[in-house]
Amino acid sequence: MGVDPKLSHTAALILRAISAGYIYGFSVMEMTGLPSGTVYPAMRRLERDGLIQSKWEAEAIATAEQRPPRKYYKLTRAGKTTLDASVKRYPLLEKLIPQTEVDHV
Amino acid sequence: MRYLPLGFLLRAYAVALYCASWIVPDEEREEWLKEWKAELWHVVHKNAPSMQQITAAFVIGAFRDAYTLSVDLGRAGERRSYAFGSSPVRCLLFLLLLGLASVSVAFLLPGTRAALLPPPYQDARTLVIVSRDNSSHSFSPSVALGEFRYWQRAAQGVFSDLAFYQIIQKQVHAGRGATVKLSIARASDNLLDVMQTSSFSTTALVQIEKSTSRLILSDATWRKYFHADPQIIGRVVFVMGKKVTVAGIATPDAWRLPGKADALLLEDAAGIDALSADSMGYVVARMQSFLTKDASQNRWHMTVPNKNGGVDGFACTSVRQYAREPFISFAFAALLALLALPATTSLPLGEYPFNPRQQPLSLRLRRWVFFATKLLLILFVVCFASLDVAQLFAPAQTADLQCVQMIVAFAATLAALRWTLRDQRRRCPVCLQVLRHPVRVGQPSRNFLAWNGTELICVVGHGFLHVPELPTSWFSTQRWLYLDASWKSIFRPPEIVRTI
Repeated sequence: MGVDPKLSHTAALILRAISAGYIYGFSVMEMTGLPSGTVYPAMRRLERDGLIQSKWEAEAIATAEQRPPRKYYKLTRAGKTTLDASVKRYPLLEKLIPQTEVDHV
Repeated sequence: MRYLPLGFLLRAYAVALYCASWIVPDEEREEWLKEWKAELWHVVHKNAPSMQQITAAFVIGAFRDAYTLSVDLGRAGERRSYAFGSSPVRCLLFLLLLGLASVSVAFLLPGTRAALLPPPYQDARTLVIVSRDNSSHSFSPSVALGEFRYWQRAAQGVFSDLAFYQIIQKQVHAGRGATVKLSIARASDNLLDVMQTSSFSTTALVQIEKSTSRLILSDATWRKYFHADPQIIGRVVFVMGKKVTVAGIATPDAWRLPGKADALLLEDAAGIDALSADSMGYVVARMQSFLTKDASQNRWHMTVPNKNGGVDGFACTSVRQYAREPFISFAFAALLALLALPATTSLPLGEYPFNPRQQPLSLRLRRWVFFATKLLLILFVVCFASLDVAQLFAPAQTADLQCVQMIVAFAATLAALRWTLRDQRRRCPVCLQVLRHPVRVGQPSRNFLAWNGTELICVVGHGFLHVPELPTSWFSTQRWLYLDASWKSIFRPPEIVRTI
């Protein structure tokens, strides 16, 4: 998939959050301040467009921590390229969501 | 603000999320619900001071998620409407609803309601309407008063009792200067005795001398023209310039004999004697019990010598049989439509090669059960709809009513049979969904050299239907082509197509 220069600011913000390590739906909401009614459909569209991909964490990990398994998201190669292009378009993205070290599954 | 117990909150939010998941299309519902529930756990267990507000916002957001997703799918509505129209179950349900609607309308209309309910006369099978041969189906008056008088004397071996009536349109002076035009059944005074019914509430009859003409109003007439006046019984009204006493009100649907009767005028002996012997009317009679031993018999034949030395034939049709006449008329019209059907469309449903792997016996049976059910339902709809239309739009005379019903029933049955065949031909033999995406293949100019026609496809991927543009000796009718498993990858899974 080629770079999409017309990616909306919201979509770019979500991409940036996932890239920064906020890999769960709720953590993306918390980080971006976007409501759930916006974040999940947007992530589903990004996934449909091949910019991110989702995966359910292993059942064993969740069971060990006595919680339901979570679905996590990560950027695809196309997603990274698109995010790079979007960062050039929206330079404040990097300041809004700085790269952090968060737990990766 | 007081905080609710965590367990209760979790359960309440889980129910809300479950409700939201029903907005999500079937194939994605489970996945979304699972993700929402997983995230909810983390939202609830986050030790934030405004945890309840955050959780509530998350759950409300789930509804927005679901709505956005269903809108985002874009073609979901189109697919849903397609599935609604093409599903065999919905097709049958639609026909069933139509049938129920037409029966409901039939029950609302007095004329058709009478045809659906059993006659309110005691032993209706032995109560017969006598009509001249070849006129029994038109139910026009066919017996002269002179013949009736003769039968009163000479036909006691056939009838235990008989009465005469004719339908007349007359002005009735209802009092206070009001005049209404009514269709009146002018009858000999023994008509009620012959009918043996309690549907004419004639409480005042005993007080009125039999030498006086009596008028019994139908329930509808009493309500419409006499404003349901309970004091009407015993009042004197003028019919044909003659004083007549209102003797009773008939119960709804009490009149089941040929002809429309807003009121029943029971004439005294002098009134009937004053009529000319050539006056035409209807004869209602009770058959002698020894003639009616065969319980399945509803029609008898009678021959009577005439003045010219020959014999006249008369049919004695049971009132029970008469009540069935609308359905017999429909059956006749349907038979005519069935005979005319080959002239309007081709009858074969197409060639469906036997494929035991893709079409086991149960599937093949299901196709024929669907076809038979559809046919029965549509005939049911047409039968009652033709009765309704005839009752709503036909003139009051019984013969005209029957004629309109026959015409409507014939046209509607023909159209319905055509549609049933065409619908069946356009359905997949496996899933019974309507086939889609018609594509023209070939060229008319090359009809005899290559295949020329229309190709339709089953959206689930069961196969193709090839419909020839011009039937040829090598491709005379539509032909079904099963697709093997290698095609499956390009079709949507069947459960998705069925459920969207």
